[in-house]
Amino acid sequence: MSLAQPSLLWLLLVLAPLAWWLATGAKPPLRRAPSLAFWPRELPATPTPRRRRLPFHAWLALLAAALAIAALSGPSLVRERPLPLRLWLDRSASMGARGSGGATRLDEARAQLARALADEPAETPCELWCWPLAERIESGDVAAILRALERLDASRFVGAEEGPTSSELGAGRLWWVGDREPEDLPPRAAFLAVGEPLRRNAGWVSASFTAPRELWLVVACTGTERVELELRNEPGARALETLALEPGARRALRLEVDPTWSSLRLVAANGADQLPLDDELNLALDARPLAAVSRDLPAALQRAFAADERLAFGGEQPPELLIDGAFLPRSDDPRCALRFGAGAGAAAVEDLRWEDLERDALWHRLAPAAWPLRGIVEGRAIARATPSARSAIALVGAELHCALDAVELAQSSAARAELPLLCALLVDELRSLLRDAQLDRARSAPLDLGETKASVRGVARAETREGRRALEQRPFGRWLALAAALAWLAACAARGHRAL
Amino acid sequence: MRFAPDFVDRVLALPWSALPKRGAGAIGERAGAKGAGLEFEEHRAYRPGDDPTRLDWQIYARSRKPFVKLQRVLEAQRELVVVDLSASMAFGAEPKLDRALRLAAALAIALAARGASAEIVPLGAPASLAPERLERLVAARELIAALERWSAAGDEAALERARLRLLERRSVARSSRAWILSDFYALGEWAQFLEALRSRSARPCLLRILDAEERSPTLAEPVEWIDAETGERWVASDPAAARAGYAERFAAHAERLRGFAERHGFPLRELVEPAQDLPELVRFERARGAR
Repeated sequence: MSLAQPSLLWLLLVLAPLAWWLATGAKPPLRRAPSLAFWPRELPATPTPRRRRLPFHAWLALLAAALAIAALSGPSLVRERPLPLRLWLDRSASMGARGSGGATRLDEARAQLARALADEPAETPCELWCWPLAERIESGDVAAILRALERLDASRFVGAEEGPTSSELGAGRLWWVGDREPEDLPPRAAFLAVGEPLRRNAGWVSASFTAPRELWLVVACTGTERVELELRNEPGARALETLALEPGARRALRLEVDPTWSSLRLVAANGADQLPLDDELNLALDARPLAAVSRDLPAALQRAFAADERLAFGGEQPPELLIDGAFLPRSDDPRCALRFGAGAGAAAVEDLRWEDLERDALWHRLAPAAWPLRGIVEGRAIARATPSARSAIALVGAELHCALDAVELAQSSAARAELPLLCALLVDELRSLLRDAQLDRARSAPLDLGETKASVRGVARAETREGRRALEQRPFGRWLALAAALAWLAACAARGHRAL
Repeated sequence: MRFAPDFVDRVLALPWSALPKRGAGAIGERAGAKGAGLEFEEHRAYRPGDDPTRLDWQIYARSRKPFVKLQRVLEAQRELVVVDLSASMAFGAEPKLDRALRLAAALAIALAARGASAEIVPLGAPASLAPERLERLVAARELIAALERWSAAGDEAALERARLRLLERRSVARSSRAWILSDFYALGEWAQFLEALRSRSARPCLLRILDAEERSPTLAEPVEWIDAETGERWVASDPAAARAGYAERFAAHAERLRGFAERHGFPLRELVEPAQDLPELVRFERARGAR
């Protein structure tokens, strides 16, 4: 039993002095007699002794008061009932992979769910949903869910980028069973991992692409194990190059392409498993750095760019763009722009003129009065807002220089003290922007990713057994109030009966 | 509701055999009362002053001697039922007045069933409450309906006035018996009234109606008593002493009442248990009739 306002129970203490008063301070009861003729009224008048016990009607009145106070405190009976449970089962293609014991991950998921559901009350309302189609397979009690699980097999769908909606996830308990935990799973969800933990690697098995005239390739190992890659031509399937990448390493490759080759194929050669694709692939087919900084730039800007070595990644290859100058346009506003010098991609840069920058860049967003000193427009937002990576780079550079100018214009010692930090922030923004632009270019490459391997994170998480049951409250204050009223009526009736 | 729906049938089923059909009046007298009749008794020789209309002309024709017919006057028996309506009669788990009215109605019904009549007189009632008379059995239900409206509210002064008024009624002189239903608390006043009744030829029969609590009150704690008739209050601060005093006085009063009734030859019956009221009344009446 629970009370909505338990503090009201202190009112019960008031009844104690009331009972004392009723027991000691009240007059003797009044009774009607047919005649007083026979009563010895000549008896010496003695002081009326105070009563030491409560009359019956007083007990009833006290009971009524106690019941009323109990009713005011909002009592309710508490009953436990099982919380509804929604099971999400990953049926993507990767769940069809067989482990070392020969059983598929889906079999393992069935067994794990059966073990987990064995601890559930049989009347627990359950729903079984499947991923990635977000369809409800079955709803009912635990036994119905177990029967439905036996009928399922892995689908041929790859994983979806978008997770289930909140309505699909439901409001009760949530279990997610699969070989990869979704990133946007709510905290109340319990993830039941299945499948053997896989090695983290480059993330793909092979990629085919149309052979360019000259190949510039960058590959990076973002995994935790060494990766060996082979570049083959088609037709012919001859190994042109072999690359060995340590975890975290990045290699650039330049290759003259034979005009007879129709396509090229990059293969992970160190024995990858045969999982079908249901994960994301990161691949860049360009070795040249997108941008570099000329030494003619202002010293502050040079330091800022030089702080990030990856701005010139690609090693010895010349950058596509070379930032070799900065301008302040003729305006009252302290706007600025970057000038791109000639590099390996000089042909492209030659067409980039001031007018183009002015047209592509959203100059109105660069006015320092519109954003505070540190309010650099987030790089990803610029990438989305600008039509090309080139203009995005120009835009970020302009922002950077503009901000530096603003610092200098401010003549503030405090702002000057923050200059290194500001530079670091700007460089970080620019770095993320360059990476995004690079990935955009990679995604736009005509790749055939049919044999790309999944990168599966095997994160085991202990299932929480808490919160399995909900507390259902049934208030019964109104019944107590009714009992109090009846007790009061009975007290009045008893008092009236005594008076007769 | 004082009277059960089958009250009349239950009363008629009781053995009221001691009640006479008709009372015997004086020979040669005429009764002017309603329901009176004549019955031949004997012949005797005519004496001067006799009513010539009583001459038996058939005997005269046979014997040429004048004889007159002596006839017994058949007079319908009339009984008086006096019910005390003072406030003390409202006392009791089952009010004494309800019991008294049931007894009065039973007497009237039994008398009517045998051709006699009864007049139920309220004593100490307001002036608007008139006596109820039952002469024919078919009117029993009207009598019961009227008695349902009676209530006990009078005080001792009203009771005394009513007693005096009753003695002045002519119906008292015509009644052969007067049933008095009361608790007889003020014995002195009741004694004068009963003696006056007997002097008017109505032989009193006393039915004392008491409640069990009245005869032996429970008193475990101090109680403030209020007199039902006078409104006077008294606190019994010592329950034990008060109970002892009450019992002593109540017993003395009952003894005085019994002595008074024996001295004057008034039958007296004390009724305490409501369930035994009617059987006790029948036994009482049969004993009176046999005597």
